[in-house]
Amino acid sequence: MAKDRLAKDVNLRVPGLWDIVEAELTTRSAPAVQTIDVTKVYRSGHIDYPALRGVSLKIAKGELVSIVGPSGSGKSTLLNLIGALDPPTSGRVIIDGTDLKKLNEDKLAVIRNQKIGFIYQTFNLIQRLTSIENVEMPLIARGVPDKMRRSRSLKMLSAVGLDRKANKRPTELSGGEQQRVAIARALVTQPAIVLGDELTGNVDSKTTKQILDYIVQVNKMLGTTFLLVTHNPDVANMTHRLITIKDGLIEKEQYLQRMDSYTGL
Amino acid sequence: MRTSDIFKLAFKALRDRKLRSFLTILGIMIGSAIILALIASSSGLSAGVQSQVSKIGANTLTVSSARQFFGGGSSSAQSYQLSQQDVNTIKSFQGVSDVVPYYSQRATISYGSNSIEGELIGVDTNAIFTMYKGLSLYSGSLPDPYDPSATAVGYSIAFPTGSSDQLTLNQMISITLGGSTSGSLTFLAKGIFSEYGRVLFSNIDETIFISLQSAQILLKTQYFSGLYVMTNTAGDVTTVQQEIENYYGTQVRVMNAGSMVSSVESITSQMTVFLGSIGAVSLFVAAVGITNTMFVSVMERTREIGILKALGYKPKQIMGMFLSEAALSGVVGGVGGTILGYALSFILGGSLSMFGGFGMGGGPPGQASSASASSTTFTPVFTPELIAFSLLFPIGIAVLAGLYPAWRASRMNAVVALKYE
Repeated sequence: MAKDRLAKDVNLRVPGLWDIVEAELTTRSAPAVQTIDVTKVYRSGHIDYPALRGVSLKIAKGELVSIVGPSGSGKSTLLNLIGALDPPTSGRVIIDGTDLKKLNEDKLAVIRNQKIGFIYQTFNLIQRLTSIENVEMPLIARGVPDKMRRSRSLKMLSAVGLDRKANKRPTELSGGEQQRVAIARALVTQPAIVLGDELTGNVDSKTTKQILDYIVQVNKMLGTTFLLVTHNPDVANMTHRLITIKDGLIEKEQYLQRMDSYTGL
Repeated sequence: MRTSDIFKLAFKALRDRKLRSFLTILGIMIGSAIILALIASSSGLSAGVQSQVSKIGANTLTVSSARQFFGGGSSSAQSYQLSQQDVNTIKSFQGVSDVVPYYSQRATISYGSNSIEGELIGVDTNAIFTMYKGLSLYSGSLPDPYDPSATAVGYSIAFPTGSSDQLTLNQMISITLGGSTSGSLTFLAKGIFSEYGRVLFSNIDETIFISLQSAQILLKTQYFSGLYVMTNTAGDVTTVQQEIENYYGTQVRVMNAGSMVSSVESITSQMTVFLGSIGAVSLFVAAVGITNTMFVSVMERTREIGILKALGYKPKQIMGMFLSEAALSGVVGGVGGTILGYALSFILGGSLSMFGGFGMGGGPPGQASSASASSTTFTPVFTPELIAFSLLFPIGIAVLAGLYPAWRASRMNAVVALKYE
């Protein structure tokens, strides 16, 4: 009631202002990711394969979460739904306060571009482009001018220690280097949420350590939310929360460590 | 996403597959080059024919013995020969203002160190300017019709290309008749005509004119090669032609400038349709080639498309990227095709001009084709509209051909595309 009165008051002075204030407050207080009872059923011929059977979870901003589970448990499917790459069969996915259900293809693309960064086990770099061109790709989609995106991409590459290989193509880089390029590409847009699918699956243990250190650093400094699907206990151990999925359902959730307060934004 | 970035990425994608892009573009180039060359040279040809007709005049008919146009095959048959009596007969027809008889024969013209293959025309020299509109003297005067040794020559005879030896007035010229065993005869050059070019019957620049009487003596015949019939008005041409044809039947062949134009134009337009459809087919094949290349490209880059989607590219942006690859191929193909077509039209021009000269000789057909390099009667015509068409049309075709593959790319399921190996 008090809020309604306040809204009326504010709107009397500046019409429409309250809507903006409310939207801002919703976004700030909203979880980075929220899923409400999502299911995903793949259909092949006349047979249905349920990949997810009702998953509800909330991930706060700045949280570092790992998801583990046997293969075929639905981890990757969940990641694709959260990444706005695939719609759920039922249930809702809410990213940073925005319900994906209401969005068309173009708006989903904008969400992917502005709020989400992907890192894949197989790196998924474009082979015919150089490192820096790969890092620039999400900025091109956004319409960032040439010079600006080049310098941002170069900064990002030097942050992952690859500025000297900016003009090398993926085939000229080691697995670890390729994954660092992919990380640079995921972070160059300063996304709210980074989704990793077995991101250390194809790199050696030394590089894995470097990458994990870097992720923790970014998480602390920028408050970026990470959601990492993994088989690697080292990865799981450094996260705040470990979610175990089995047969399309959350089997258990464990809080491993407290989220540090961060100085971000 | 900026338009410039879309094109930069498209250019990069084409450059990364050089050979394939080149072959695709080559297809477009050939198609558009053929179409451009055809349109340019056929419009050049009809412009050339038009200008020849304007030299002859629309109120002129030619009458020649039918024998002359059907060559040796009918030489055994008794063929009609035109005499002074026919001149008088035709003169009496309604609508005829004058009839000028002429002799014509291939001849070798020599003076100094030069020896030139040309045509000898014996005609009332006072009628020359009536017969060839716009012809003028470069120097000297028209030969006196009653001076048997006087002659006036065309420009190329007096000033042959590639020879420093040039004709001066009152110089002696010897003429050897083509196919004749008799020796040469000597004339005096009294006049030299300015450059004039071809008319339907002869190349005036390579013609030597003598008086009717001299020709009669020289050729040892009183039968004319043909008659120029001038009508009072251009509107009389068809009725006079009808009259002559009614009177002589198939014994003579009557031609008027208009009918020659239409016969040349029907040949040209048939050729244009024929070759144009080859061009259209090749452009269609090129379009299918683009579609095919694009489909292969979309397939190959399935994973890349998945990545683009994950990075937040909108479907229309992905479609734009593929479409602009097609458009760029079209641009390069259009520019290349225009240049190629420009060159091709001159080659084609040469072969078309032979067609244009077909059946237009004053003498027997074998002798008529005096087509030397200097007698090419037209140049291809390139209008700004035509150039614009040849630049833009391939782009349109290419974009159209790329539409479906590009749409397929944009509709691809991101998750499936990312798993594609």
